[in-house]
Amino acid sequence: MNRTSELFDDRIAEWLEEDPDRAPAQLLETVLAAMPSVPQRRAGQAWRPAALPRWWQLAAAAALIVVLGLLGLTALYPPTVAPSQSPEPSLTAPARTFTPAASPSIPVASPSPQAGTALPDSVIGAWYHAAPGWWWFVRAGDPACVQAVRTDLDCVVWQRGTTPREIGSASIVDGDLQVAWRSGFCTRITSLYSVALQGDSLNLVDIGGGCEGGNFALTRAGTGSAPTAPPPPTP
Amino acid sequence: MQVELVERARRGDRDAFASLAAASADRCYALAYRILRDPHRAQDAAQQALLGAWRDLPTLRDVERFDAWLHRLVVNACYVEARTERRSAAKVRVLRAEPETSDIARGVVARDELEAAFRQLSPEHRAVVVLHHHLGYQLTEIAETLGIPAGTARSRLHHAVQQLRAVLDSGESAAAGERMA
Repeated sequence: MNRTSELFDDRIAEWLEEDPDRAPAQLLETVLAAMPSVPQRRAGQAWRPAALPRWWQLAAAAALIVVLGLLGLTALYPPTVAPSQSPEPSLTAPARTFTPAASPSIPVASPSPQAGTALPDSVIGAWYHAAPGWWWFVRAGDPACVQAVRTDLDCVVWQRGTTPREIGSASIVDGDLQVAWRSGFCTRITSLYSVALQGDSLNLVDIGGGCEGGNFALTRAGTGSAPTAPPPPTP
Repeated sequence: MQVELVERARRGDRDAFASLAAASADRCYALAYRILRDPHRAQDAAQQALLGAWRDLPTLRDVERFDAWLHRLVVNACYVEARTERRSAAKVRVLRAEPETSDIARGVVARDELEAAFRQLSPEHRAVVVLHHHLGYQLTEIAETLGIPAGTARSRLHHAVQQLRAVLDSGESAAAGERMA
């Protein structure tokens, strides 16, 4: 450092020295008065983004946006199970092993349902589930749907054992069954199931949206070992 | 003594923090004033920093580093204040003082010019200048306190001083020219 630089540094230091060093009394008074209303953070929250360099914050924000975008795309366009090549009925999917959910999981908000088409006639009616439980696929306008779901779409009523029934609007989207649950544990969840219908057996495989994942092997009521169905519970 | 107060305060002892705040308020204000060049904004920044210190104290891992950590909070609070200041800065225009002949008057003019030149620096550059020239921090300490790489601290200090010199040199050249005329 040359002499000129030293002189200039001294000049800056002297100039800064002339500034006030005493805080106004109100400063401390204000802090002490406000302190009781400011809760302390927990020690576990030691990491703070503000402590990181700005470029790192930007990179983290960009990465977060990418991840959220990918998750959003995955939710909107879930991976579909390849359908089998049987001409009739049109709702088909590979058979899977029935894996009932052990216990209800916490529902997570899912994307809004997409516009779909009406359910095929072949699935309308009551289906028995060995869990035990019942699934009723009901045409649009049925009181069970209209009063609970307030939809002009077809709907599904799912009664699991003695738990409160779950009702949602049902439609076919790209060959899959889309259920927008509007009543019961899965409320506000939109589930997507691949559908395999073979005779009196209907397999639903959860492929997106969740609430309660797994496969549901259903048997048409009154066929095989399935008992005759009771009427769908009214709201 | 301070370490014990910090330990107690981070466990939620308000009296301990009141003692810490009382001992630190002047220092926080002095640092904030030198960066912001405004008593009211400096007071606001110091208050925000002290309240932030109370809120975040349980997250401070090394209680021995309380002072440096508090300085960082003050500097960050100054950045926030400066951002709001910048929005209204367009209304403020720095007037160049008329050339004077006496030494006392020339000293006042020089300080005003330094003030005006300093205000042209970004808050980030001001902070580095104040930490170095007022608190006597070395570049590594500045980097550690502000959470920036040492190279960035060096670069900011260099550019800040260069900019101050350039502004002052141009002012002095203009004043010399007027005196000769």
